[in-house]
Amino acid sequence: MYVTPNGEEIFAIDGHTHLWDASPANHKNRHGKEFIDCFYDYHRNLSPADYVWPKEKFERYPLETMVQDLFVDGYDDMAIFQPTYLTDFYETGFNTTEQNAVAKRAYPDRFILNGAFDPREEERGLDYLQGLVEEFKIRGVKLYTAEWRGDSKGYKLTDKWAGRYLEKCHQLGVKNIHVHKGPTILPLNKDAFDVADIDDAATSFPELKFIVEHVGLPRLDDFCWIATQEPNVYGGLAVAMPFIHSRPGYFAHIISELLFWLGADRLLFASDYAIWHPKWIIEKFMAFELPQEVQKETGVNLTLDVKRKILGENAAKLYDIDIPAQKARLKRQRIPAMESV
Amino acid sequence: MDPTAHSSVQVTRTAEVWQQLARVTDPEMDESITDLGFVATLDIHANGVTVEFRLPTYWCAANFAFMMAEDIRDQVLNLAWVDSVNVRLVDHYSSAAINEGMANAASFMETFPSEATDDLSELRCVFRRKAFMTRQEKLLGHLRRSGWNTEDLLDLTVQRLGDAVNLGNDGEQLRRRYLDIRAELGLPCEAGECAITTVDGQPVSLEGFDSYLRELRKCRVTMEGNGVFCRGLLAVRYDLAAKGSQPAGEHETGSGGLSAGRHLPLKLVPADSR
Repeated sequence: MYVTPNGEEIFAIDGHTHLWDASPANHKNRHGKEFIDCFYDYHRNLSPADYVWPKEKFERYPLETMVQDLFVDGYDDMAIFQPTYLTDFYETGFNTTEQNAVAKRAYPDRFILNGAFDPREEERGLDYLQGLVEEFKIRGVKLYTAEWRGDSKGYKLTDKWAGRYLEKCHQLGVKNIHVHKGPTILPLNKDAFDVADIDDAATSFPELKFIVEHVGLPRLDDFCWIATQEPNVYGGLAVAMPFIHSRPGYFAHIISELLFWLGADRLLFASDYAIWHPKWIIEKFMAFELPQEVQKETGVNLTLDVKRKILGENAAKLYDIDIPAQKARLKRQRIPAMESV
Repeated sequence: MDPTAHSSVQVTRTAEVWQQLARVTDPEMDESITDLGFVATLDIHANGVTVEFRLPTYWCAANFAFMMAEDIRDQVLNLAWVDSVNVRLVDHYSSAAINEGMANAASFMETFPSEATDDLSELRCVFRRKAFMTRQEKLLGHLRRSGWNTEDLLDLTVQRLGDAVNLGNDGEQLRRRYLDIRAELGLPCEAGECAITTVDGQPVSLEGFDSYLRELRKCRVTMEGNGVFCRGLLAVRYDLAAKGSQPAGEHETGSGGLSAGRHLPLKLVPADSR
């Protein structure tokens, strides 16, 4: 819980977190090492110096560390697990629903557990998706469209089987579809980061909510375009928010573009933990004011109301969280480490 | 041969190659690869040039990497004294494929036969159009901050834009880059033509100007953001911040005022050393 200087409590739902195992013992091949190395560079690139972890800790950290960082030190009240399987790179997967479920069982009111599907699994994967819903009652899925699988370098939401999966999600009440684009997909002559397929899917499935992770970066412009067209397209702010530390001027531009094109109701705070720590992101975000010239240029402002929506209220609506009731529940079930703070 | 004379040829040639490399841009950022620090090593033996380049991540999109490799080769080959160019992408998942493709002068489709269904012209075009919008936005922003009003901007001819004085160094560079890309995209560049048009050469109306600017701004913020992120990633990946403490100008880069070269381990190998 973040408390403003005036004593107002701001409920924070961290929209994108991981509990991964990228330790060398779990690498299946070179790509496993390169994947976590790339994440580690993201971490080092935008984190304040005193939040940079040693590499070994970054490769694999215990649940206790995560809980301490998010809920004790980091102001998060709840956090959403966004699994990323990468079973072609890691022996037991990078960050699967089953791995994250351990945390969900230990802290059921703190974590929202999302599942994942891969339309390339075809019929078999539909059964798996149904199983996730039955076993874990998931309300959302995270899709990484650039995931390598055998000879495939990714898929699109307009692929035939992807449509079948989205239909299945609708039937099963899995209404939040988090989509993360990556640098590879075939054919290679097309732009892998193109978000046009999300536009098509959002039109075809108006009952589903499509949360585009990383607000489409590096295609922020194309993302803004589709989100302006489709009321059920949202933006997850992982990767965008950490700019607030080293490049606050640029952060001002990016957040004001998003507020201009999408408005304040469709943006979700996310740390992308363990890539970044929510503590410094939330502190800097709460203290942040848009420069006058940016306000003048874009006509938007980052008010306390807007911050409250981005930090928690928007995600609460997507996941049907009643914030006052949830606050009361969390107060009754405190994390032991919180007693000492 | 007088060794001093030889080394002076080598310095000149290095500068020439560097100037050619400065013309190659990363398509997603529209910034020069020399400015971005993507050129890892440059090696000149007699009339052959070897350029090693690197990217911010192992996973950067292979299609853009291939574009840059092709552009490096073509720009360096434009130098009359160059017989051969060896372009090598390092530390990337597609290094082997791209380097083999470059060695065999293969096309994109020949390099990725099972993964590509067409050449890269369409993708290139998409990003050159974004580059146009970004350059135009930066120029318009500069002119507006210097006191130009919308009517005057929309009335600008290519001639009057070219003649405009007191733009400052930044403004002159923005004007040059904007006029360059107009020419590159085949938009009218004759003196009397309207200077501020859409990327399709259509006029912009006074009433529609604000919303047009907002479209441009979205594109500029995106490209700039990619630049900010990628520079940072390259710096941590190759530990450039630490090496940045080297005195500037340690290497003769001849980069025409671009600030890149000082991190680069340039290998200046005289032709007769082998």
